[in-house]
Amino acid sequence: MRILIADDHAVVRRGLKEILASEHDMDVVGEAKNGDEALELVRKLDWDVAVLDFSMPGRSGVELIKEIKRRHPGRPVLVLSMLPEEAHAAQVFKAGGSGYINKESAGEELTAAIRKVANGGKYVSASFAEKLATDLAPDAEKPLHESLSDREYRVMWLLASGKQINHIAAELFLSPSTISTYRARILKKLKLTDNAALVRYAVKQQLI
Amino acid sequence: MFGLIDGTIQSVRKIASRLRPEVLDQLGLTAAIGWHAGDFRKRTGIRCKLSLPSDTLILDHERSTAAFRIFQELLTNVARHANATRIDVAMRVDSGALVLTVEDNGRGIAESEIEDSKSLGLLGMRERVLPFGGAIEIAGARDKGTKVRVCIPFGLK
Repeated sequence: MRILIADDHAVVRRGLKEILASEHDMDVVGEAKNGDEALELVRKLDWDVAVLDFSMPGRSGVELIKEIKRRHPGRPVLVLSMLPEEAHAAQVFKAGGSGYINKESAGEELTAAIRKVANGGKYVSASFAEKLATDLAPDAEKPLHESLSDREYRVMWLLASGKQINHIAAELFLSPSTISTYRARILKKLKLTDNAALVRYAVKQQLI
Repeated sequence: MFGLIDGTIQSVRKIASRLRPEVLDQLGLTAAIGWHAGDFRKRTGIRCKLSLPSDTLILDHERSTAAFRIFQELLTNVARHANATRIDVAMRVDSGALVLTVEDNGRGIAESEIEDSKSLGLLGMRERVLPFGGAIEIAGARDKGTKVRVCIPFGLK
């Protein structure tokens, strides 16, 4: 398999080559350090799979994927990125990309991903697959905090941030007893017993 | 080996410091607005409801930057002054212009505050859209909230 790699960091290109060197059927036939170089290699060389960094100087990202797919609709493009895949994996697939890997997991996933896309498949990491499945789940599986009203949500956030009842009351121009009522309602809705559990919930759900 | 590690650390630093504009440049305006709204919710506890176009918006660098910076400024204003618990953000393309609306359910901006535009950075925001022939409309209703509509036409260069 002839592989083209493009990344603006030499250390990353070196790492990629090292990973691929241990696969006897994979050869790195060209390496580019920006989007324009990548396009030139795409045109000049014979290749089977292109492995691109999402963010490079010059042309990159969605634009670069689209341009490569326009010239070679049949050949797979695999995208590597520093950013977590929730950020833009969907955009990569929409632009015609065949797979998306976070650089953090590239070490373990790269060769499997290349094989998958080389055979015409799409490569989706386990964590992105989980996100897709969660997005498709019916409302019943929505997290509990979705049932909070907007003001309850804000009070919950202030409590989880360690603010005292009096402080929250002053900030929201409400009386402390109203805030206490809010707190009781929030704990009930979230099925929690105390502030410590609330903090833990907020951290786990990435609300703070 | 140490050289390699140093190189990696430097790369990561460089990337981290560029992350903000990078989100905008590489992901486009829609994703950058979504990302910033998520970050805002985490930092302030104010919910954001987003209504963004599902297609990738192809917009030039200057217009995306202007729209994104205005959006950042608007959210900062909401966090500082509005006493809101919710923001509704909508972005769409309407008759040759990008239209971004940000609506909160806070105390509502007063007429006098809109006129004293320098205090809220409104002047700066208006200046940002001026080169494109754009406009910013602001309306406040006492205890109901504030609505800001930003319009950036595509036509003029």
